[in-house]
Amino acid sequence: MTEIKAPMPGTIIEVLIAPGQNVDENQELLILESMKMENPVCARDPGTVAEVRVKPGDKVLAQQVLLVME
Amino acid sequence: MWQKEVEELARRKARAEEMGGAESVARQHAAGKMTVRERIAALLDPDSFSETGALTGEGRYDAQNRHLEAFTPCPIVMGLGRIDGRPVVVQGDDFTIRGASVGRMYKAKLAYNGKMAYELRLPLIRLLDGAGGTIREVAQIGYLELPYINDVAPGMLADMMSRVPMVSLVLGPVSGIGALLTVESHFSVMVKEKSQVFVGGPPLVEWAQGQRVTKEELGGYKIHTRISGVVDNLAEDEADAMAQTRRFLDYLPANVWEMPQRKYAERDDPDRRDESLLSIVPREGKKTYDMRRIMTAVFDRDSIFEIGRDQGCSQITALARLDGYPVGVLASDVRHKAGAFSWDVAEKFQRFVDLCDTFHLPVVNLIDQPGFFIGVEAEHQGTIRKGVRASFAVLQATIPWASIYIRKCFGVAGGAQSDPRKLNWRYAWPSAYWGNIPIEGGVFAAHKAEILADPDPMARHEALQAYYAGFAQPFRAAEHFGIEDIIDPRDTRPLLCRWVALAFEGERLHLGPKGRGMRC
Repeated sequence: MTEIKAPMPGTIIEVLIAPGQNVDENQELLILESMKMENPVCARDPGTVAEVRVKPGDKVLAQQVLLVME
Repeated sequence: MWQKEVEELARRKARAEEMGGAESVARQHAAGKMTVRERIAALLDPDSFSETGALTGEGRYDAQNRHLEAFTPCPIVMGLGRIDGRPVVVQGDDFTIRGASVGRMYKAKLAYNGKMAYELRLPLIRLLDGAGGTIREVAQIGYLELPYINDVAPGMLADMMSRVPMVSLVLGPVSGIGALLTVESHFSVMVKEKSQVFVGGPPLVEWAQGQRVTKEELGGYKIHTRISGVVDNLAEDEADAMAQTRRFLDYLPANVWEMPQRKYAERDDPDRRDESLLSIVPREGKKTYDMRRIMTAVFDRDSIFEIGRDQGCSQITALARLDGYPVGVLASDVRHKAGAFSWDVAEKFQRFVDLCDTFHLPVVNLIDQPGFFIGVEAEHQGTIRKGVRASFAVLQATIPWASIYIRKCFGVAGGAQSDPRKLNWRYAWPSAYWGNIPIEGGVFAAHKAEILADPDPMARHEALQAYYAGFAQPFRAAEHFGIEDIIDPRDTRPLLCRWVALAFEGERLHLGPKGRGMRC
């Protein structure tokens, strides 16, 4: 299990994956608006999405767990 | 006349070739690792290795103290060799002999190899796979030494960082002195899931702190290539680690008294104008883009070698070529933390600038810098001190420097991108905008009373933003010679190729060690 965390505080504006989906290394998982930019949050390693803990519009803190991969 | 001794010499050398013995070698292979002699053969040009100190080891003699009965080689193999025809000094831990634990003779050989690299002015390559010091040494010498007290090597290694390229390949678990040698390098690479680096390994951590951790959790690649920055690059296997080492050295001179070599297998047209450069940067300021596409379009075909890709990710550092000339490349990656300059970027940036300056690699900086990373976390990390320290690397460097302003350049971190006292070879793309203070936040701060007093504060705020945005066009800066030129992005490569030829000639006048010593 690997937790994907928010690199900085901001607002989730788009979730690009769903639980059960396989993702590749460096694939964009969701978009986090912060620092006046729409920042992609990417997978560092390939894996399967186990759980998505945020939805568009959610405000998140730095290091908050956004999704869990297995 | 001396036939007997010559035969003994051959026997002893053959014994050294056996390393820790067949069983130990089989265990090394079963762990998916090469032996030290296989590694040296794989790294160097065929048949180029000439060994120093192959006879060193522990001999056991018969009762008459005449005939050798058993022999254990010293667990470090070293000597001279060639990579792509160029001489190098190499050393490798022999894990098949007591886990390559460090004793007297190991230290003596290590120091001698260091002197070879230092005095012959040759790159030093280390193949690390060892457990570090052993308490057995104490019984051999009969007392407890103060650390380093009789050892000249550490001081010499610090000097060497400013004189010859040093590369460390981490090919197994390393701790103690192996961890030290890992970071005393200009480039380090570790093998995925086969190598770990720690000051003290899991048994020591459990004994001293009561915490149980695996080797990977404590010092695996996910820690050191992604978080700590202790190791620069990740390799898929040992062959990949060696290929990366050869590649790294290809861009560097043998020492700081030489220029790096201009070369290409097949010349990439210096006047090539890549159409994609006109459309990679989106018009909407909020949208990110792939800086590596810009790099690929600008630098020589297949010439980009990235260092530290997985750490301080908002800053790209790479070696590359322009019309065959090796250069250092700094580039922002706005896909990570909006490209902001964070503590780990600061460390990566500083080391890379020092590397380029030390080895006479002109720097090309592709800038999209929103500023230092802000927020609670960033303050805790001491971002401002680490960032300003990194900016000193730019100020102390004497290497030719070219900057391409691609999009943003703001604040102190924006100022750290070049040295205003020097001839700053700079071009702005039409997509560029910059300032000491970003307009979005700055307008409200400066016009707060006026905005809040307005019957429609939102409209007033927007009108003021639009007014200030007018100043942000790079053409306004160019009118005031605030930037020397704005260019068609497709002209970036031709212009940089012309610059680099001049930069190289200029840098030839700065051969030798730079005034600022290089720290690891």
